[in-house]
Amino acid sequence: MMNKKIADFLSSLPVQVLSSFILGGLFIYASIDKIVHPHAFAKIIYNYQLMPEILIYFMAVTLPWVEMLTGFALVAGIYRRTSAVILSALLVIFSVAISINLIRGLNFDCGCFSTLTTEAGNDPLGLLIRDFLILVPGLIIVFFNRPLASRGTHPAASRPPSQEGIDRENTSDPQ
Amino acid sequence: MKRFILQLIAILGLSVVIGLAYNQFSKTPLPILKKYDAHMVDLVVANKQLNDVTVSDESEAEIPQFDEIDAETVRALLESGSAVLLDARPPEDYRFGRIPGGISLPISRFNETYDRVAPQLGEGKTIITYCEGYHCTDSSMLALALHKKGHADIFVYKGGIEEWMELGYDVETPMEGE
Repeated sequence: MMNKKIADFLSSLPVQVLSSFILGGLFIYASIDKIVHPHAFAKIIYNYQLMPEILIYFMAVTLPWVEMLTGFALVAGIYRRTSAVILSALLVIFSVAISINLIRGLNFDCGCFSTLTTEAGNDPLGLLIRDFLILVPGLIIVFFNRPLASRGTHPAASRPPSQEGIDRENTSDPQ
Repeated sequence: MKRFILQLIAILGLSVVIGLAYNQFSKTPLPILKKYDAHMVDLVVANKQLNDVTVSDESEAEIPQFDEIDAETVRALLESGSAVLLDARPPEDYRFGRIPGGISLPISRFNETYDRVAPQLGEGKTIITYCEGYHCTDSSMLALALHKKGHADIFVYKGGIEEWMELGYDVETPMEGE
């Protein structure tokens, strides 16, 4: 009973919309600087030492736009669940990349940073925690943005009328 | 599931198309099909930072290109006495060993060191910069800094002291105070 209440709360329109705005907004914000400074972003990708050198420019040019467009789609409620899956997947990939470098960093000091790079290294543990926090709204959308059809399986659910149309993709609404 | 995949392709595809188009029309597009070149990227980034700081009229897009030079040519130029060799590495590294004749001008202390070194960069002399090896970009940064100071005829020896030693050429330890 309790679980169902939580699930209903998480799939309610306000929670879903708020999650979309937080996740989408953060990614839109994060993408702007990368779009404006593609060279600096390429350098950051390179410094991760995880990508083949031939793919670095391509990633630096396209990844910020994936973040931007998916963020906008999420905020606008277009392809909401798919967008949340993409952004959550990105967060997981970022976390894995940071973790690998966290482990590497404990083993050796590469000392390869240019002296003109003024950006101080971020604390990787702090980055990981932040990533996981941002992942929360993503997972709320991925797992609780239920189609209206399945909501209807709980006739007792006192669904407010405002929930109509929460999932624009759903065309098979029995109501 | 099918709908999910179609939506995925739509979002990712559109992003890639817009990203590539935006890059193509930008002032300094990234060469998508080429391998990452740390020297080129660092030059663009540093040039942008310098321009932001100095607020010069110089076009932001104008990135000076420095010709690469190989070890053989470096040797020949040094032997003929027509070139000055500048070591862009931090003083700690320089103290351990340098390419013979290399003068220390660490990019990390460029402003403090430049005035002392400047008289040796006489008119008509070719300037060659180097650092550790291909993956360090201090040599290119130093070339950029010198370019901004008005110097011309600058070459970057990207192989650096690593390649120099691999080729079996001599390395010398600088005297105290050099």
